[in-house]
Amino acid sequence: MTERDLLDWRGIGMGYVILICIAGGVGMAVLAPPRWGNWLQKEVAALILVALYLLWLVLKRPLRWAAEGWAGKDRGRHEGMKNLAVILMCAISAAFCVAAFPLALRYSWPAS
Amino acid sequence: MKPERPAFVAYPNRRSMVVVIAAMAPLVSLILAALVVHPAAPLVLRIISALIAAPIVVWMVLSLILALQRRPLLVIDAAGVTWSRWSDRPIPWNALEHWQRRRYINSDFVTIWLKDPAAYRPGPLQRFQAWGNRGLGFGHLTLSGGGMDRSFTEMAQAFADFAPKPPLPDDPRLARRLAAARARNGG
Repeated sequence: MTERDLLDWRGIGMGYVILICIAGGVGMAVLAPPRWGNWLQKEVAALILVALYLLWLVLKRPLRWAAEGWAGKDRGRHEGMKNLAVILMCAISAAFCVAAFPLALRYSWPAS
Repeated sequence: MKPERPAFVAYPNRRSMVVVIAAMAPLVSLILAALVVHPAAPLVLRIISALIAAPIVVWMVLSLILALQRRPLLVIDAAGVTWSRWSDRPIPWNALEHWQRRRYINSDFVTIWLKDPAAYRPGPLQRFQAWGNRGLGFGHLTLSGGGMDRSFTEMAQAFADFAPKPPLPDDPRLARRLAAARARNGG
């Protein structure tokens, strides 16, 4: 893996970490049982985010080894994997953007 | 300077610009949906959230502009430095007072002090950023490796190859050692 690959993957990884954080926050707002108080929801959301981040820390090295093993010295495969990761990120991002408005209407403020 | 080496030409890294836009878009959408345009949100909270979202939107727009840019982002050659985000006008080497490679919060930068900063004025956004950088002890113009299709190491090497060397210190022993080190490194 070249220095350029590492820089690219660091950027792509950071993008996914941001998406995971957003997903964690939204998921908690949507899935939390209504009987839970506001503070309990926030604490569990924070714990889930920490768990997701730890999972990312555990997974990123094996993922890198797998990518290196599969692509080897084939530049086309390296670039293809990066492009695929970015396309997947764009798809997830677009889905979030579309879902944000109905989710916010339903969950962000209590109905008066 | 090493006249035999080709100019350093860096273009915007389109993929990293797309990553910035894709990562920030859901955040902006959520801020807009849950706070700025939500009918139940109080007015003060709407204004505060709009102020929080505005710089993120500016960052996204700048990333989009860079992703669509076809001309080089940074050119370092025998004539000087041309950084299109700063200005389309090249900054010749004789306009530099000195330059330095610096590390700040795990990131590397090349920072430049100009002899006459008023002669090479950037656009308003870069001026604002440069003002912040000056507050942190950086020079008039600060370059990171971010957003380019070339690495920081290559950029710093281009500076080392093309920029005039800073004058030797007054201390003769230190000057001798520095001159010897420069000779060893081919410059």
